[in-house]
Amino acid sequence: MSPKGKGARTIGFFLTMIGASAFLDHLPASIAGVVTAAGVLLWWRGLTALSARAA
Amino acid sequence: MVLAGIALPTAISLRSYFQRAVPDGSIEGSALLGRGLRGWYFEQLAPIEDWCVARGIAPATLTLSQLPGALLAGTAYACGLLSVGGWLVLALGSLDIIDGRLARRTTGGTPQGAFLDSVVDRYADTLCLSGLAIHYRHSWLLGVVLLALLGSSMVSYTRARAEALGVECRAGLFQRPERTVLLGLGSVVAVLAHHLQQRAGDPGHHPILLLVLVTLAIGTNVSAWQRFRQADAALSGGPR
Repeated sequence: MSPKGKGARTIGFFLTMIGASAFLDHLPASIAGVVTAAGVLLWWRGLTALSARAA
Repeated sequence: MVLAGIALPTAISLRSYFQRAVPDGSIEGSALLGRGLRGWYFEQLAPIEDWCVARGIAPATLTLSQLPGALLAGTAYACGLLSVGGWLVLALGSLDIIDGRLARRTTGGTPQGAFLDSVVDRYADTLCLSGLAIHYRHSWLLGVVLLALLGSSMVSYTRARAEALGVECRAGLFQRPERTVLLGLGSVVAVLAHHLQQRAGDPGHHPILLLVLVTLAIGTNVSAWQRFRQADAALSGGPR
């Protein structure tokens, strides 16, 4: 497993969860959306880096 | 959709837990957070440690960065953003793990760093629980939160005071990692359960968070008492 991918995955996971939780907590959708999108991008980047390394 | 968005990344991330390697012997476990779970989580955080080492980030910088993070978590709790507050608490707990491990890797862990870490941890605990106290200021739960705050401080104080007197004092289930996981995860699960019950507009208490806070209030004070008894026995020359 690529260490870089794992790091991005972990940080991305937390950002995604904070963003998604912001939706649940009824924060403005613009704030929650930006945080979630940044988290998902980072998390996805981490996952694809791991998959590429595994392949 | 949001619930699915939370469940999917969580399920994918937890998948690696079941494929984890056997933790090395240096990892200490506890009754609530075992060695396997800790070892797996440390493995997830290791790349971030590597990144910090490569960029020359000092452990003290990470330690101090917990202060604004805790202020943010406390503010989120105070504003009623319980789920966001919970995730921030969990992220701060991770940062606390990273700074400790980074310190051991780079400087070997200095007394100055350990002192700074302890002080910042107390501030972080107080800021997070104070946010909850503000949130529950008109409810009887304020008393429960204040008890949890008192217990959290006393768990740390009894150990610090005992160690200053030369006594090893590690008794008690509710040490800082356990408290962080319980509060963070409890807040998150409470809000999720609340939404699953489709009571989003209900201004009442979240029953799971209520349970978590009562557990924290009782557990931390029991842990502080156990530490007091342990230190007292050691100082008096044997168990009573």
